[in-house]
Amino acid sequence: MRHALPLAALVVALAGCAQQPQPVAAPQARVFAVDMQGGARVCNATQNVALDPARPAEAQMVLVNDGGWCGISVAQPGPRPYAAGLVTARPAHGRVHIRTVGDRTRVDYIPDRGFAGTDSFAVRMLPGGAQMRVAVTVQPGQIAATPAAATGR
Amino acid sequence: MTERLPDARPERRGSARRAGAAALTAALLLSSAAVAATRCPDEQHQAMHEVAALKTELLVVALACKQEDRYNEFVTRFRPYLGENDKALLRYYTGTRGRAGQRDYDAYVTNLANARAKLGQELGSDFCPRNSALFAEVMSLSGGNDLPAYAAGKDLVPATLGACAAQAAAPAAAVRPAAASRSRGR
Repeated sequence: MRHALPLAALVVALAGCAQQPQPVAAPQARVFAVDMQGGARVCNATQNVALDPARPAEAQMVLVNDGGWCGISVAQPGPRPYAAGLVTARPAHGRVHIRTVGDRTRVDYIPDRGFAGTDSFAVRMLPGGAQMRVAVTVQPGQIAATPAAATGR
Repeated sequence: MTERLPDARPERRGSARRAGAAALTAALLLSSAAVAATRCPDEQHQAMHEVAALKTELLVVALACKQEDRYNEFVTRFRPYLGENDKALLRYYTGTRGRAGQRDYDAYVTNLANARAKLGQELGSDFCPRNSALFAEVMSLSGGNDLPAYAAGKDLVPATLGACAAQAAAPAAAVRPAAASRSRGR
């Protein structure tokens, strides 16, 4: 009986800890499934590219050409996606697709069918005008039967 | 050539949407078969096709997602550039081919609308919330001079259509634009 009161107090204290409200994570912007589909199965690109309006950023990308895209994610502080992106130098052997994916902007390169070799392109992000130049190496591959579900890109 | 949609005021919204949807459906019924993807050898010609694809995409989004007001704002803001682009694109097709070029131009614009609407249909209920964001993006541009560079980064020329290729006239199934209220369970 002597130990019942301290034990009860301990139980009450632990219950109180368990009931402490947990911080609620800020809601993330919606990510649409179509924007995560179709990534190249092998895609290695510079991550965490810090864009600075004062000087162009340089990034590299190496992918196997299976018809999929290889992307680099960039963001404004927050993170927040950029309002828009401009292609200031087109790739010679592919296409560029700049799109909002959740809280970030992803700059995708899609090589032309059958292309293997080097390519490059440049983009400018709005607002601010920060630029990024991307050097691309495309390795030969086969068109994937099913699009890859990209994760963590 | 670059026309605003009828004002989407409540009393006119229904008739405006019906008229727009009817026009788009009629255009889609005339669409021709897809051709292999091509890219224009000249960057300026490629840009013309991409800006046309951007305008078409925004029109499809406006009609399917009841965003006529936003489309009208886009057209009003960029009217001079869009008008010049339309004329330049028509000149590209008619320059050496005369009336056949006019048919090629009409077929290209029709096929573009058909292809964009089909892609929208595939997105299902994601189409409107996702693609409506294009209006905010395009309105953040500083002016018409940014339109080509912006359109170049949206990958809007369908791979099945390409650009700068002669369009073969052939009947194809009409594609209904994606409707905002329809849930496709995706």
